[in-house]
Amino acid sequence: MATDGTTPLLQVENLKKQFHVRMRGARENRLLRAVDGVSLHLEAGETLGIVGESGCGKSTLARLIVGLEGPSDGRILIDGEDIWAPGAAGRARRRKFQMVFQNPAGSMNPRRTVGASVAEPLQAKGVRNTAEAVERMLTLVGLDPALATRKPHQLSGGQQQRASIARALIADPAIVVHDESIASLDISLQAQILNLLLDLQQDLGTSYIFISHDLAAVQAISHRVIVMYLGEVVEASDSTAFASRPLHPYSIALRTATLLPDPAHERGRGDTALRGDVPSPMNPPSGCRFHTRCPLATDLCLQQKPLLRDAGGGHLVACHYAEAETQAAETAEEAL
Amino acid sequence: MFRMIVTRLIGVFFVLLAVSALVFAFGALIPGDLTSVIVGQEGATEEQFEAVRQKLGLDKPLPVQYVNWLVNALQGDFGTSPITGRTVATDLMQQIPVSIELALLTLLVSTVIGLPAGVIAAVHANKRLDVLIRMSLLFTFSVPIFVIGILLLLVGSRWAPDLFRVSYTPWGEDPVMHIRSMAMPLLTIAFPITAMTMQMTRGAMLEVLHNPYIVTARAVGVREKRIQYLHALRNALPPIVTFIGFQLGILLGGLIVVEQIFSLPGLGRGMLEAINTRDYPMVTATTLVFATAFVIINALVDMLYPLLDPRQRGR
Amino acid sequence: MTTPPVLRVRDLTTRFHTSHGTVTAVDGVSFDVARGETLGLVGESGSGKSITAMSVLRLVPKPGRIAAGSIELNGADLLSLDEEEIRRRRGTECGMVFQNPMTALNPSFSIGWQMREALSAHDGGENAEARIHQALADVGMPDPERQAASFPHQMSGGMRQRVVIAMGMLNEPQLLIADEPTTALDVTIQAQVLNLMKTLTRDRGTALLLITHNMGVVARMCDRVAVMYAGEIVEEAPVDELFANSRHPYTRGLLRSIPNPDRPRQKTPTLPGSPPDMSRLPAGCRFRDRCVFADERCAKHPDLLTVGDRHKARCWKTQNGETLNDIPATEGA
Repeated sequence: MATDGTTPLLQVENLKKQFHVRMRGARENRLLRAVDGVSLHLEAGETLGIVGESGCGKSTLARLIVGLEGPSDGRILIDGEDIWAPGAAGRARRRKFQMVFQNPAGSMNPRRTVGASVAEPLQAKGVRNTAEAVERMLTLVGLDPALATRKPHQLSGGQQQRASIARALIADPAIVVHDESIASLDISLQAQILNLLLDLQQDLGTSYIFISHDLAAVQAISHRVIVMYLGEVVEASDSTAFASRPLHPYSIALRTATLLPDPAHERGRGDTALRGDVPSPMNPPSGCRFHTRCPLATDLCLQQKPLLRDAGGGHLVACHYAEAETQAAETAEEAL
Repeated sequence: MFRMIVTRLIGVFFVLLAVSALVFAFGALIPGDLTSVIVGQEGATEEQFEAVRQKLGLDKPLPVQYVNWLVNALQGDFGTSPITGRTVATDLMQQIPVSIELALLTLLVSTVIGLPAGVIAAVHANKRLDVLIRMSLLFTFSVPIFVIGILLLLVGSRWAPDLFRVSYTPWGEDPVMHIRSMAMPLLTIAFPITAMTMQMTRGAMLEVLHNPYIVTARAVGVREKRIQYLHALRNALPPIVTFIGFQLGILLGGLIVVEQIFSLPGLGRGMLEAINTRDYPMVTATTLVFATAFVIINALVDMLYPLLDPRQRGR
Repeated sequence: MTTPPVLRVRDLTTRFHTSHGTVTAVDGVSFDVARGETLGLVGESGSGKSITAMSVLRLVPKPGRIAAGSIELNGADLLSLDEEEIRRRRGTECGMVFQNPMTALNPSFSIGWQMREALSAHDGGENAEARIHQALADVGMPDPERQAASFPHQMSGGMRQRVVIAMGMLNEPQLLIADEPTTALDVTIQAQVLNLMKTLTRDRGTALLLITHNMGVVARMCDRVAVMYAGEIVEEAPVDELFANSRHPYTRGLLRSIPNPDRPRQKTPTLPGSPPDMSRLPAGCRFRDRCVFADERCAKHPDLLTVGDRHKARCWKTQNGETLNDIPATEGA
């Protein structure tokens, strides 16, 4: 929350996105609530991490924020103004967002040179002489500017992704959304890109929304973290608090499932995995959507959906029993 | 599933209705009509002309004519041919079986040869066997049907007149003669169709063979031939089956040519003759039969998909 | 060592002959996997780990060919067998689990049918239904009878992977090769599947060759680890030893590339550069271009030699007794 009363750079208010899905051979359409009431905010120069697994709606959320799709309900405000305002005003606001996608090869036109692709956002803004900006940007992301004349397939995966980042930053956007932007890279390259993003944020002051299923990657660059499950936010806090004390049982499960390079620790854990599969987003469980897999679930959880509440210090969690679990987990950790 | 079939059949019905209307309309667009055929081109007085027209019901407005015609057609009465004097239905009943037999035999031969040829070509892709299969079949595909037909006719009548009996003999009369009379036409039309089936199968198989589940089957120890002809081919079937439906259009056109060259008394030749002699009732009726066959077969192929691809069955 | 290893690979070399030239994806790789042991084969792109796994059962896709070496499974050299003999061993002596469960199963046939194929390929037809249901139950599938009749597209990724594991273990092989078995799965499902594999292999004494790029998975699952780079094994050691005391700069760098979820907003020290272009390998040590310790010795290609107790490394520095502790400040960007 902005404590000094200024408007956050980005405000997302109760965002919803629904799809009508017709299964072949079925009688009627079913409603897929991909994003079901998500609210968040982002300050300038900050990175918000969004972590979740399949069906949580994070990719849809990414597309909504960037303005690739319109919401079914709710608002997205940049500098306090609706990005879906009609006409030129709305378009100008949507242009303040850029996106980096998961598949580096697929997100660049194979028939154009890397330089041309990187220059695109500037050209869309009406700038004519893009050569210098391209060169500057490529150097900034750690690429040899000579690569501008090559085609994407002539670059390695890591180089392609750096070029995608250059393209996203060249028109000086306010917010860059990364949708699993490092997932397809080798580990050493993932770490390189994460470091690069940290450096770039320091140099350019761009805000990021970093979406990933990899909790470790999200924690590496985020100031604040949001955990999503089946279209909803189940926990939100700053990353340090999240690292020391995840509250929601799902967050804890995510954290436990993120294996550390420490054989003794991993061996000693035993079988702490969550049971069951992720429910279908078309048929979410009643009450708390996580109750089907939650070790703490009771009848209350089945009947009543917990709302996001402040568990102290701005750490939000949507669970009836969050603190009790954390205390139990802490005792267990000490016992280990 | 049942619901889908019913929906599809209703769709087919409406398509056929539209087709029949179109066919009828085209017939009416042809300059001149039945009257001039019956009465002859010259020497008829206006009154005679009008009298015949009235008798034929051709003075009524077009939609009324259409409904009359349709009602009769649905009862099996397509009218009488002014040229032959026989009812159109009689001729149809004699011609349809011949064409059906030729079409079915072609389908059978082209599938029995084309499918395995395609599988082998895909498995040995870009190696000698593949090149051989493709070149030989595609060569026949590039030569027009009527050229192949006439060539075979020449070869057959010149070098093996005893082996290939060129005039048609019905099965009932003499089975052996029948086979000998159908052999050449079958060969003519089967070549290009087989080539196309082979090509289609090869393409579909190549895609399927690269899938990870084929590697799984191999890793589990399934025999290679079984993998090719069961695990893989089964997944390649949808595009191949689509193609067979599509093939029909080509087949129908080929039938007309082949029946003409080899003088087979089938629907194709019947249609050509009817067109040449301006036998309107016959033209309309045969066009309708062809169109119906096409629509029904494509609808059948369409309904086959859920059977072939479990993913399309709906949970 | 009293019992011979289930798998003994010596000097395995697999090449790909393409129109762009020849790439040696696996270059003289040797390792053993003992009964009941889990050996991790770790590496990034181009390391050759997947091709090594595929080579064992001679499943290398064309235009790849195994060029040299020996692969002994239960004592028999697989490279000297004919097609039928190797087919008989696939699934029965060695099973495989592949990476992407979404594409590893045939979409046109039911699960039960595909598992029955695995049995009847080796004349195991009798009692097939019961064995299939038992196998599905063993991998934790609820309601095995119904699952056996269903199709892959009706199942989630985690369930499909369980089926793939069930198929791999159906004929009770002595060795299971798992190529990135959890990479395509959600991390909470990954945990389930890894636990399953650990339990199954432990209970049946199955040897497990686990291919992965995830060091966390290695820490959880493996007894010994072999690290691969550019087609070679560059380090091999028991798991605790590898993590605590790695003796190859690549392993070192790789271990340090993993961001720590408990220490947010920290830069991750990592390796510079990227995995090599396998069609243009440098002379001498293949890791040279990315190595912060490289010096003149590295112009000569090092062998894989013992540097400690059951610990081998392919590095002149550590073979010379030097340590890798004084890492220069470059973090790689």
